[in-house]
Amino acid sequence: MSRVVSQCPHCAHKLPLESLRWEEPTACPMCSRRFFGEVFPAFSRGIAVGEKPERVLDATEASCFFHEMNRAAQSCGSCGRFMCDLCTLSLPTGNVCPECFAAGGRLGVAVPETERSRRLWGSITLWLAFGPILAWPISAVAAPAGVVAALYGMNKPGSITGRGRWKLWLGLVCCLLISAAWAWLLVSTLEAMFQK
Amino acid sequence: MSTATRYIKSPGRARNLVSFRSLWFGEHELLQVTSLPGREDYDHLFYRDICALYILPTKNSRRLLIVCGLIVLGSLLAGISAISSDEMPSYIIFAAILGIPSLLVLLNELLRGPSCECYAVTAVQRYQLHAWNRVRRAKRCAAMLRERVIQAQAMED
Repeated sequence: MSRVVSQCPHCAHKLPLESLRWEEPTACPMCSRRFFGEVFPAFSRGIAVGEKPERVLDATEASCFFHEMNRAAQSCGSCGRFMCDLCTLSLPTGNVCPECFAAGGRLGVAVPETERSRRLWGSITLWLAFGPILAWPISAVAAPAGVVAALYGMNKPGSITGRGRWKLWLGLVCCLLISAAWAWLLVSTLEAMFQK
Repeated sequence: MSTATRYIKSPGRARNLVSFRSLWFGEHELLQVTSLPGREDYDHLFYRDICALYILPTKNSRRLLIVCGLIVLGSLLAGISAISSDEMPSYIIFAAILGIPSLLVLLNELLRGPSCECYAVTAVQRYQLHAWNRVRRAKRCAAMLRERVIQAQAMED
């Protein structure tokens, strides 16, 4: 009899490992939905159980930052704080503490593997430059705001994938040109008013 | 701890009205990026945690093909009947306005192939990979992911 290791992704009916293939679709005997699939070794490994922390026996021993009674086993790769086995979160690139993980690596060195969101100042600048095309008078305010956003975002990290930095420069140039056009319009209008 | 990870873009992109999703292969993870105006949200899926990968073919593209095919056929018949009976040209223009975009959608759907939903399963969740929404593309990209997952899990063992 074949070993039951997997489930139909549609109806969760248990399926034998042998039935899953990439080459041809598998039909679920319960719901008749066809699908392609593959199971990896991690499937049979199961959920890892956390290690039990050791108690501090001597006053000279380093203790965990979060649990004073526990012996330090690792240091956080982001903020450098000592942590016990209970607090250690193991990532493929190293260990981090729960606070750094929750903060997306903002407490210390940025850890891309824990980041969940980034503000893209290049994209914001482009929106401020080209957003008010239909309601163009708004660009009198939006363009200077775009220049400020571009200058602010100059030293901020861009996308985690490393793309889209050109948007900041394009947005900055466009916002500067629009701001200059508005400044010229304002000056020429004022001059005309004073000449009258 | 490394701070700069190089990401390689995987083919495919899933769009909706305000955002689009793309997938990137990292050194240790598959990254799903949700791009919104002025912001990016990230979902990290480590290769070592991926237990299974499924591709579920869906009927969305077939439905769209049938609807667009019927519209193209209808406008073609209407156009032919209008020409043969010397009716008003506005009738032909109406048929063209409806028929040409439908024809383009039809061709696009035929080129992209059947639609699907792709899922990566970990020990605690089932995660939809939105960018791989066509069977052909999903199978091609899944093969790339498969290599990385097997390599990462072999190193873990």
